[in-house]
Amino acid sequence: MRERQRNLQGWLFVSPWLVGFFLFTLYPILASLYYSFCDYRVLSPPRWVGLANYVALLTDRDYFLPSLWNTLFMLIELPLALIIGLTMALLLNHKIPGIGIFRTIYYLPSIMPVVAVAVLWLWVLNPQYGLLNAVLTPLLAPFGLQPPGWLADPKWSKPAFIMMDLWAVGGSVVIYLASLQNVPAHLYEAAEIDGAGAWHKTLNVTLPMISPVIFYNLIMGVIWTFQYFTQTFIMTQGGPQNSTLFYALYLFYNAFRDFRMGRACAMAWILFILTLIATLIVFRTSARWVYYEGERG
Amino acid sequence: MPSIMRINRLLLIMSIVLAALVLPACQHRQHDPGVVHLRAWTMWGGDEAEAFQVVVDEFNRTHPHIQVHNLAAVEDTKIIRAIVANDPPEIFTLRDPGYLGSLAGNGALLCLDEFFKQSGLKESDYAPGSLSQCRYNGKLYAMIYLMDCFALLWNKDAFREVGLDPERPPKTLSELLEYARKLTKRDANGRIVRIGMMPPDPLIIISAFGGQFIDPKTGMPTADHPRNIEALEWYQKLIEVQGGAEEVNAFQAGFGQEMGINNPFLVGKVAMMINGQWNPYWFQRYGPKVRYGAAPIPYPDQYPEQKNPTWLGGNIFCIPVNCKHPKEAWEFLRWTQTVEAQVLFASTMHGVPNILAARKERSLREGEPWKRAFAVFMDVANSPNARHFPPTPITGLYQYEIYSAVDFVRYGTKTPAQALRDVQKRVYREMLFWRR
Amino acid sequence: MATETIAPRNRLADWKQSKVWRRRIAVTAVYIVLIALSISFLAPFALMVSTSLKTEDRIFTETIEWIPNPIRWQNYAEALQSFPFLLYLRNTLFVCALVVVGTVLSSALPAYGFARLRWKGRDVLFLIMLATIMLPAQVTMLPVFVMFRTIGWTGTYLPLVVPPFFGSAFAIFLLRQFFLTIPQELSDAARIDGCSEWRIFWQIIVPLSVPALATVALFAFIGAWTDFINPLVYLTDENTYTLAVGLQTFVGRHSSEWNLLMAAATVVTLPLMVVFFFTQRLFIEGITLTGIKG
Repeated sequence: MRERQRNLQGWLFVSPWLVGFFLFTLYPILASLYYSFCDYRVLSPPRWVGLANYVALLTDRDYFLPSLWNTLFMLIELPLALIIGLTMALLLNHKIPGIGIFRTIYYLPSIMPVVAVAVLWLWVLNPQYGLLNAVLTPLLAPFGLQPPGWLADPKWSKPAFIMMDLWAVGGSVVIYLASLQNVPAHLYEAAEIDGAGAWHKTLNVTLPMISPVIFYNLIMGVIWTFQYFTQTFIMTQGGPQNSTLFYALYLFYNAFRDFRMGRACAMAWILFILTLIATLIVFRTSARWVYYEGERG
Repeated sequence: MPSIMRINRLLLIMSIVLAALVLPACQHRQHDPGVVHLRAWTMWGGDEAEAFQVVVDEFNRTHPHIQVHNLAAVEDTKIIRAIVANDPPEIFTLRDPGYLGSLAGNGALLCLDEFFKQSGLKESDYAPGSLSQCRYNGKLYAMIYLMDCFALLWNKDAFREVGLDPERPPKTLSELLEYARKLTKRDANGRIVRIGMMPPDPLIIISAFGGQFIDPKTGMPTADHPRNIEALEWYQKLIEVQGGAEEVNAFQAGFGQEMGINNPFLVGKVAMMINGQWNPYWFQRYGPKVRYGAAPIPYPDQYPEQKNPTWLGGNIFCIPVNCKHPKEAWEFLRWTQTVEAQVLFASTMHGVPNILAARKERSLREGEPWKRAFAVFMDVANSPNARHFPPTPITGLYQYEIYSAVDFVRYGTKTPAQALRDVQKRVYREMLFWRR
Repeated sequence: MATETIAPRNRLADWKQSKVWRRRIAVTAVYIVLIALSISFLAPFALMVSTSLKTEDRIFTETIEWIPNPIRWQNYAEALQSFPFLLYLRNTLFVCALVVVGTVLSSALPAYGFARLRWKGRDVLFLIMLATIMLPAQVTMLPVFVMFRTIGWTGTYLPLVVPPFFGSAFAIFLLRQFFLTIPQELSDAARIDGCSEWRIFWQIIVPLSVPALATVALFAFIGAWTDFINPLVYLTDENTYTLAVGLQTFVGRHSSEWNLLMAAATVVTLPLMVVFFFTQRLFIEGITLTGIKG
């Protein structure tokens, strides 16, 4: 009886999302799965072709596999974003005068309109007149080096995007800051009495206590990285030489430039499976490093 | 607990604010009976949208029983979605005319042949390359309203500076190479400060060489046609003669292509370029002191029959196949083909009229000095070697592939023949797929 | 005798003094690092504001001019005239308010269910929920649109404001993580006292999670404010457009007037800055209510 009541309560609490899932989410997801097995040219009815789309994609060395590689490359960003985000959150957690202004400054990138951000970064990354190379040129000149061509150079275009993303790390910083408030002060006091310095306190008190939120940012980071699209669509459209043809961009081209919606859906589901695997891996390892004070069962 | 109360109060305030906002947001439009309301979704924004609104207002004024409502700055995927969801606008433009083949091939567009036959419009009224941009598989699926065409523009002062006759532009493509080399200027450190010839859109050069994208007999792609390869080889030479890929790319990355005070041609960073007919108007607005000339695009020495090549674009209007008021929608399209409507739009949008009679209009050719350059473009557009990209169901992919191939050629990763052969492989396969 | 009493006191004073000094040095170091990083973080924003005040001919110069000369304040007037700012602002506030309320309310409840209760199917359902955000939006875009068209919601605000009332997977996930950090002892004590889960949720968990809820509210607000894709897809009447769509169409309209574009972008960003600056205390410094946190 208690057990049934408990189950019922669980489902009741979750019902707002569950109802929405059945109303708004399930049909489009199932539709896209069905389309992935069809030749669906958007404007004519879909025609069943079985696994043809999947096979064609997985054997396509010209675009599909390079686009997958380009997206996987961007996963480098995740550990960097984690370290930078955490460091900044710890810095910004000091309640010193004026800290509110700094926090706003670091959060700014997340609230600037995407279209303005794209244009501004195009200017900043301009190899000849951009701000970045204007700063780098005198720094590199004594070593006889020249700054890279960023978005004009296939070798540097992806690192340029990684740099752009790290600039916008403020979103995760806010989440870290919120969770840092939840760390009980008495734990710090206990550590201090034991003689722990700042580094030890961070490692043994702060990090474990905010690990649930680190976990969140990691999973979200994986999901977002796999779906990276907007900036490359506005700024480079896949160039130069397909170096920034990311998975989601190629998907978009399939769907809305070539009208191969069936193939686009197949791409989406392949991506889904990859994301799911990556997420499950993170979940599995989480038992070792994520600490939930309020967990039970 | 104080914060709960604070939250409760916040919620209360929010509900009041919401109620206040909701009421005005529910607005209803009133429709008069007997008047047909057409929705037109167009791609133009800003000044161009205002210019089009002038056209729409004029139509609405002269056709009280048909009222056209223009929604501006609409992108193509919105139109696709509306078509798929069975609720498309009555009239729409395609920002990318390459979509015509895909839409028509999938039966999404209304065939306009019957309307055209009964409208009194004649093929002979139309400029070369105009109606052909609206046809797919021999049938008419769109109406064109103004075209774009390209010509050679050169900076007369730059010519004078290097000892070239400012009134004598290059006539052949090899002359163009020679001029480009002479006009490229470097500073004391060897960095380019002015490039002789801005690398043009490769499609234009392919067309100038008499290249071919689609075999007119079979309808299949011919990306690796020998003339196409020759065109890209010339393109590669142009880059080399001006300093090679690295230098030219770095220099070109330094300027955008928008029209404004900082347009590279106007500030002297580019001595020659092949560009569209909208330039003369904007030049006199942003760089009135610049002395420039306009002339037909040079042709390849070895193919003199290719004289006066030009490249055409166009604004096309379509009516969806499930349109509820096809006759009224056609009325609007028909009206845009009158000389008055053509001249009205051409004078505000700076496009080339597609009705031949309108091209002769004095108001478009005379008056301000920049109109003389505009007249050159209009005359160039009459050339028998005026070509455009053929409407295909794979235009989006085809053009992307060609630009990609040129990218590889520029960086030297592939030879023109190799790059185009790779393009051909992929677009041929895609076309087969569409033909099924 | 005298020396013995003095010496220990001095050492204590020394230690206290050095602690104060160490703190001062630490604080100074923090300021230095923050200021240094600010410069690079602020650069694009500064470029945006600087461009918004320039005349057209000074936008692209050999070396970047940070202070415009002359300063052209009219850019703002022209930009604001170019799209109906107040109208779009009102529309945006309307949408944002609904999205925030909907998201917070409808995400906190499921998060509680996932985090604080044990029931059959909980973990599987949680994984399914996460899975729904792993599918790229481009492929569900068309079926979603067709779905909304079928029920007649296209052309209205409904597709934008109704779904948030049914939970957002991101928000539910985030809140679940926060709820899991609250010690179970609190809930247990309340259950022993006979409290229902509903009461525990409202009277214990929610007050302790104000930073988390405020963060979710902030993200929902900013998400709705800057979203241009959904309004672009579903709204067909220009009078109902939001600021983000207005800015997007502004780009199409004035593609080469960068100074006007940057002025419009700055105007659209400023309210968010202000909102963030003044509501920081809510989610960053939190509101401690019980004696649990020191």
